[in-house]
Amino acid sequence: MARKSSDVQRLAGLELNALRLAGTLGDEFEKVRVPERGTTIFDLNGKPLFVRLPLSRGKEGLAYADIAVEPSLGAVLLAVSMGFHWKEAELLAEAGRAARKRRHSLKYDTVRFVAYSYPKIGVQFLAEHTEVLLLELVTWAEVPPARVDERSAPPRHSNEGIPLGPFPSNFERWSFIDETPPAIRRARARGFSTRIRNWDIGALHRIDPRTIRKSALEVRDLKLRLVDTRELHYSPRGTDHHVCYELRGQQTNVWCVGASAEMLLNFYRYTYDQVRLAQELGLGTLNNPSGLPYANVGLVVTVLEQLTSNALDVTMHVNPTFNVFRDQIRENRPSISFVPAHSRTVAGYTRNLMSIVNQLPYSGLLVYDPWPPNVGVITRWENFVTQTYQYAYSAVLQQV
Amino acid sequence: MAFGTGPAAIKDIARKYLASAPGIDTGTQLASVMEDPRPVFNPDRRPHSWLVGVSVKGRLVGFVQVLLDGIVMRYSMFPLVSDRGSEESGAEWLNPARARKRIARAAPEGEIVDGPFLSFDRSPDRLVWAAVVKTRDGMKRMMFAAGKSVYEAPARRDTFG
Repeated sequence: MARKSSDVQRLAGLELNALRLAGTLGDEFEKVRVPERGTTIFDLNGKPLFVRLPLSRGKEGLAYADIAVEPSLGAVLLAVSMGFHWKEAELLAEAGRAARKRRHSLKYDTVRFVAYSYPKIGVQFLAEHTEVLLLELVTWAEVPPARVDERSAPPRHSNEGIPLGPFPSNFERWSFIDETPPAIRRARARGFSTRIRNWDIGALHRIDPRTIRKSALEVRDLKLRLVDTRELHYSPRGTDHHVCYELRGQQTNVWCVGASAEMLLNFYRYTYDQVRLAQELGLGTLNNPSGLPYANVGLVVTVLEQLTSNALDVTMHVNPTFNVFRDQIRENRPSISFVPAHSRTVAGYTRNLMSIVNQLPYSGLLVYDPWPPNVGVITRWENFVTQTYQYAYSAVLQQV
Repeated sequence: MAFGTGPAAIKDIARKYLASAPGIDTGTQLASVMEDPRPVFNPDRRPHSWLVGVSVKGRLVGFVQVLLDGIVMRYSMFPLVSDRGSEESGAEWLNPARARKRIARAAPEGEIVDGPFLSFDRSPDRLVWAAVVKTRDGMKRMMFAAGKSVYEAPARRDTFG
């Protein structure tokens, strides 16, 4: 765990330099110094959650970076936010004035920043370790006491029964550490530890990460992986074979499922044309074609298994996540993807390992799309967050 | 404004995407020209996205589809030679006159074709040129042209097709 200020500074420097190398942080960050100390932001239970480091160019405030010290946050670099100059002393003074305006006789001995509803931050006033007032940062509105009884039940993971965590309403306070379910906390802590270990390799100890420079991480014998990407190949040895997958356009304007099945079967060297596949899937004929009714989605599994004499073991995934497609590609297997009213196949993926400022990391799929009819397109990449994935079909070749 | 980000900014977003996205062939990156963005509408004519054609030596090789807020939805490439013949697969998409002609040819004689506009058949993946066709007795129906395929908007929506 990163507790010492020098640890926080080093980790912040490494993370920010990686973003600079990836081009996510622009030229305005070049030669910006990462400060040794920042503001500790506490959880409501009193434990430190993260440190906010102000980033300045000369006397001009540029941005701030939030670096986790609590492993259950799951990542080291939590955010880089631009457009707000973080000045701890000025904010505390302002908070003090706002507090006195609300309560003239307010007595307190400690003031600290707390993430009262992460990532919302407030300034907490305490007297003898007990809170006497909590004001939301900048608006200086009073945050009311916790109303645990009034919370609605959080949503759960579909299969595991694990709540995803509390989803408080506006101004509802909650402790990030105490109220995140233990299983999720442990999983996130593992990711955090892996990240810390990755930054702890020998080659990186030869550099000084305290200044952000585009070339800071260009160290001999060190190859920094910024993108995770893979496409289908003839074999799992991607380096010595070309991409091995072919596009099939749908032969009618309603045979996307037939074309998708054809592409997947072709990969395993089965040759069934769309007329035959339409017959098996109940999609009519070339002169009188029809689409696959929503109620018949299970038929894809049956037909693919039958046509391969069960050499392929096919599974249907409902509401597939990105990892479902990624895992298939890593095993060098294509999959079929159903989106509303349409079907395509997936032959690769890419994802940024560095997140873009204030955004989720980019994840994209390489999609072999049978639309438009008789032609099709190869989409490189389909932005995963812009599509609704209803079903996926994976096919595993059975060992004899 | 209906189309939040203007065409110049959309073109710039598409150009930057093509230059930086991993796995895009260097030849395309170096030789491609970005066409002027064309608006894509929902079938009920609400703005949905922009389509920015990517041409190499005057031939449309693909397109970047960008949502109204500037988020790139996808970059799609046409196959050089399609699996059902050697037609110029991309040629249909920037030519509304050609799409209108195809729809008019498929509609019964005497029916009036209004449009077309770029749209999609249920899923944004299924780009079409859409046109409202007015029958002799004044009824209206929607017809789609997707490449060389022309068809009436499907009555049944609960299918994958």
